[in-house]
Amino acid sequence: MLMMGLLLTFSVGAQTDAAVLRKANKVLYRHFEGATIQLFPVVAEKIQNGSYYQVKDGERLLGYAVIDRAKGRYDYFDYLVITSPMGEVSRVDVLIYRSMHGGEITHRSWLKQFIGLQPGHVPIYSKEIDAISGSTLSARSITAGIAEILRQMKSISGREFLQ
Amino acid sequence: MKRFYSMILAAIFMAGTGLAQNSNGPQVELKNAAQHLIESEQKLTLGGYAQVDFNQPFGGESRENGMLDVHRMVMLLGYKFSDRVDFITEIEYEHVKEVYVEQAFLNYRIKPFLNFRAGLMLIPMGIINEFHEPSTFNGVERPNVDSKIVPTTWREIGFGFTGHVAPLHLKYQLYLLNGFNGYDGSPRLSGSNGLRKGRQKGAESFISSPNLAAKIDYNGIRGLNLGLAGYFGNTQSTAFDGIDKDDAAAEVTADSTVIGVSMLGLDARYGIKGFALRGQYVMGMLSNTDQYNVATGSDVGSKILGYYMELAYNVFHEVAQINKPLNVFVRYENYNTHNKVEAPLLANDKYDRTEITTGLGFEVAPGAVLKADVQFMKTAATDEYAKQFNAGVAIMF
Repeated sequence: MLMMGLLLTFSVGAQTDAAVLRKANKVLYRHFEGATIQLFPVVAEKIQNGSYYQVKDGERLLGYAVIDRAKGRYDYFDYLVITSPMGEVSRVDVLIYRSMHGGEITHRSWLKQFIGLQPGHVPIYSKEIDAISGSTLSARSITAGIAEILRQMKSISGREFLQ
Repeated sequence: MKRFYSMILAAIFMAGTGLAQNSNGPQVELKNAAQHLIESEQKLTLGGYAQVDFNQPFGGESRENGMLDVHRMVMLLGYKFSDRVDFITEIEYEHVKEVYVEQAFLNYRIKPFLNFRAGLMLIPMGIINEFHEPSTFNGVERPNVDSKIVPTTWREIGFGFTGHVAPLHLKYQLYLLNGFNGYDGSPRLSGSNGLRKGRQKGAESFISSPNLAAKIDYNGIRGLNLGLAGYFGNTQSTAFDGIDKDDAAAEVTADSTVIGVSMLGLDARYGIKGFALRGQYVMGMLSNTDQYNVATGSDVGSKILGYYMELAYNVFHEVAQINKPLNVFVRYENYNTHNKVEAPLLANDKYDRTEITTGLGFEVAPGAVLKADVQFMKTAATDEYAKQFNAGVAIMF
């Protein structure tokens, strides 16, 4: 069962509202097939962006989930990053994309590029991450967001950071 | 810019939650203040783009002065009324003295694949009309195909639907708008400027018949963006204003000041490993130009056609230590506002223009580009290429 209610008030930086959580919910259950998912927020002073959660099935740590908000040219979009227990990216999904422009970053084939990136790695847009014409701002934004998440994962992963 | 304030607020917020957990007073206030600021910060979007140019003709027989111009300085304002409703506007200063509004529309996101839009909107045709920020295209000046054939920045008032159908990798746009001012006592369309001077730009536009604009963009193949656009409708004319609805003769006279426009545009962008290719092909069929030219004394062609192909490469793409792209490019353009003309008009060779532009753009920071290029331009009426050197600053934020 997802324990989201009280945990909403501890979201910093990104407004993890109900619609975004519902979509994240679906993605998590699809990714961790067969598991019963519980989310525990990770709270640390140096986390300035997004909402970080431990993903657990009972006592077993399945990995981490980060819900963050980034900005394209005209509007914000919400995305989800799922990592392994060691902090390596295993999946990236754009949960809600609001603007007309830049929708290309929602394509699975483009987001697949982030899979396998290790904690601390800094992905560079238009070098190792393919550039997208017409979505430069959104693509740069999500790349920077994931870089920051990987930076945080260096200290988070592998340790117990229960609230 | 906004990140900094978010971080300060987050720091305050985090400090706040570290306070005594039992006293709700100060904790609740802090949270509300932070939330409110974050919310209002996320409601207003501020952005802009600008282009400052230097153009210097050279190689001719006589001396020519160079020109320097703050060609465009545009502010973008976006306001989020709710999660689904936005207002977007672009206010433009051209050549420092002319003020225009480039966009001013309300967008209602019913579903990601269905948005309702109304107001002053960009006509979807070609690449540059929609993506006209100077840091996103190569060359100091916009391609001339997107000036003389697609009259960029082309925007009119109307309403319609747009959406992104994710599973099909398709974006679509369908709008009903007012058309070009073809006649308001004197003709606005010509052979030298095509449809350009017919743009009403939302400044007390008048409408005598609605026009339809439609575009489909496909990006299902990695690195490739394909676009197909259509524009259909009659130009507007003040000659209809005030005539009796039964007066057939007056109607016929007014009809002769109207041109039927059918435009089709195909565009493609492809990027792979530091290379960027662009291509565009736009064709406009103009009907009734024989009557129009006789009635108004103008010289509008019956078919206007323009296309270009461009190849660019980031020479620093393989260089791991340098993250600032240095794009070297070459572009070949041909555009002709007299591709076809209706008798008795004779096609004027000087409207058949060919241009080759080559140069570079150095992106010193994301959204800030220094550009320099050389252009070789000729018409079918001359043998020699006129030459011009351009340099400029192009930014977007």
